[in-house]
Amino acid sequence: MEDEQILDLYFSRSEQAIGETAVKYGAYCHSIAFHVLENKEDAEECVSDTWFSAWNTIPPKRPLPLSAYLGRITRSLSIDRWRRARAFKRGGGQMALALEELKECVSGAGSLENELIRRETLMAVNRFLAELSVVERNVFLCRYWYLESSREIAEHSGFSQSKVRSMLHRIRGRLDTYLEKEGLR
Amino acid sequence: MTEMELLELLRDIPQGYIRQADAFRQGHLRILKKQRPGAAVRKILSTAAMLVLILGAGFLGFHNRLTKAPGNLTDQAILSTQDRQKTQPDTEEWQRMVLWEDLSFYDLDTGNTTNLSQFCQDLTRRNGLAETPKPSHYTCLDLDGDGQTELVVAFTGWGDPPHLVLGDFDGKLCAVAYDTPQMDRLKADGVFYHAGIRSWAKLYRTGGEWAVQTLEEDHSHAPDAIWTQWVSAGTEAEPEAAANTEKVTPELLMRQAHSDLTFWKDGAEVSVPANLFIGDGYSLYIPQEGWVYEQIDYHGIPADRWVCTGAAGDGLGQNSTAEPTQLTILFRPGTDYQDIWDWVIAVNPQWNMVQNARGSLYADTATVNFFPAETGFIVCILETPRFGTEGLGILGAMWQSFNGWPSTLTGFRHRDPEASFTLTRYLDDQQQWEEYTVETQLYRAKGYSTYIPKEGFESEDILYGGLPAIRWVCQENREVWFAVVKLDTQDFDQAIQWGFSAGGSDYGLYEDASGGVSGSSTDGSAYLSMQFHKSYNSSIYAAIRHYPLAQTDNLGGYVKLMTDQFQTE
Repeated sequence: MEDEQILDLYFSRSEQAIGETAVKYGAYCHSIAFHVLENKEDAEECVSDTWFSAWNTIPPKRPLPLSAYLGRITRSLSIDRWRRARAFKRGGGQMALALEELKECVSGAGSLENELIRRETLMAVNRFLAELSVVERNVFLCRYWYLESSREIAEHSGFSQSKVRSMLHRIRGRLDTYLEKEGLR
Repeated sequence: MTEMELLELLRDIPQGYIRQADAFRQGHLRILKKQRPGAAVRKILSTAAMLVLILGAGFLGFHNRLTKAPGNLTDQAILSTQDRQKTQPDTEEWQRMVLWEDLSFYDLDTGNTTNLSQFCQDLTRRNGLAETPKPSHYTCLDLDGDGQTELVVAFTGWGDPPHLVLGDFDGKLCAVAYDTPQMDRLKADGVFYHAGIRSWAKLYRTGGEWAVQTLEEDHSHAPDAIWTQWVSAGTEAEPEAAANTEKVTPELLMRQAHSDLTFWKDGAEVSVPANLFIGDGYSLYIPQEGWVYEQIDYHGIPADRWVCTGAAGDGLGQNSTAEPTQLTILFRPGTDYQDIWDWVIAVNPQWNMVQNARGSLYADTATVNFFPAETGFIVCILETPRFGTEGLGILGAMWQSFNGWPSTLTGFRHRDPEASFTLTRYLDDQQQWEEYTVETQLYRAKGYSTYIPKEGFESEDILYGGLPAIRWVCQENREVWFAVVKLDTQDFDQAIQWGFSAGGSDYGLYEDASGGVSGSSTDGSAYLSMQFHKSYNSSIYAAIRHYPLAQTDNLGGYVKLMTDQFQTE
């Protein structure tokens, strides 16, 4: 079923909307959640929470394409859940590794509670991403948006794992310099 | 910033990046192979060339096709095909072949070799659309400053179809799709507005692909890129009847729907059958064959254009130049002859124009005639090859058949260049209401118009809600202002969401009965209102007014007037 038809179901408050969303995007959202949580049951719960959130926000929203919208919700919910789990010493996996890597680009002191600073930082990150080549950006986002391992990225791209790692290392270095220059590190 | 904050921040990056990365994850995007540069496009072109040879029909480069006699076509086609096998195609050829002959290209986003038709199908599938987007406009310009011309194709369809940018990378024809927020307001020099990073930007080439370079300067006022309406191969576009032309019939104009155009060629009179074209405010006869109609953006103004495709160009004599034979007609507001001459000369610096006693402008390859209308001029631009013979030939006959509509039929969406309005205000010191007159002048931009007081307001370019805006600020009280923003959505619901976001938390905004967003500031001192209007091409404009509540019955009247007079076009 096309996204527009699924959205029509949401707008007519038909519960079939959830079923159709799950059929079309279940695997996609599960993949996102699983990469963060690395636990099948937790990932499934996150995906269910994603459907619930979509049901509550559509309408008034009519997001197209649905994939990016649902992906964002799943990712946020999964990170929240990972954070709660970590408090009980259960969190780990790719999420922990990714965070460890990103330490290279940040000061470590919380600064984004202020909405203005957050927006400014987001703009800077968007500028940085725009200036990357398409390949570099995709590799970076596979790692830090989809939380994929360097092995998985190597499989998609045909690059060797070491090339993926060195590419990520260089991009993180450039991001560090960029944020430093912008005074946002 | 902490690493967790950075990771969470990535949630809000442009969704186009997320989708691209997902395509990469799915293995749809592979790395561009750099060995054997040029092999792909050469292979495609040589296949096309073989087909041309086999079919015997041949094709010519666009410029050749304009002027060659039909009898010479096949020989010329074979010659130019052989030439192409030796060298790379010239820029115009590959662009024309992409647009009309489904020449394949390498899609850097997906790693697939595709063509324009297939790209539209993929776009439908990838974005979950019910309707397949179609190419609607294209422009050719140097986007990345390397001296080569790129092709940019825009699409119509549900949602916000991307711009497809195509360029030649060492003989390999490559393409990248940029979502509208990533490439908006494209300028003639290749600069564009990147809403994702809220900055003007430019492409540059790096490692066999394009990257975006942000620019510090404001490019709002740079001339816009000139877009040409895409016409599917082998057909002539049916002109879209504007609302105000539907009521005008040949009978009403007392002109025949069909007639012959006559002109002199080699000392003999020649007649060609022609159809009456009824435009916005004018009519003229267009030959039934040999001319392709386009709607274009002529330096920011919508224009009708007919391009000679060859057969009917005999009256212009034989020549082999790349200069087109075409007629362009547009309406430009303003009633001052000097202004209109200056504008034509400014936007055509390549022409060394002189003026004749009747007010027309002439250059070696162009003649520009002006037809005064009620609130502006209809401008007719006749372009011919430099070495054409027999004067203007059929083009002259077409111009001779031109007629402006009689004033009783004036159906321009024209507005008076100036207008007076009577407003009322409350005089605190005298405790009474007073009527007063406001003198205004028409402000007309692409897509909208409104009346602005002649005195007391100054305009400025700002960013509002992350988008470029023009704002008129009251000199007496700078908290009184009116602004216009072109939104990067065509959806009213999203426009309203943008309004809430742009207004910020300082205002208690609500969706008002008119479908706009309004509300007072949380401290009760000011009022903000946004009205959303859709233009004929489905762009949404926000007309925004703001004033201190204490000025509701006084200066607030000015910005309400500007809002009430706002119209999309």
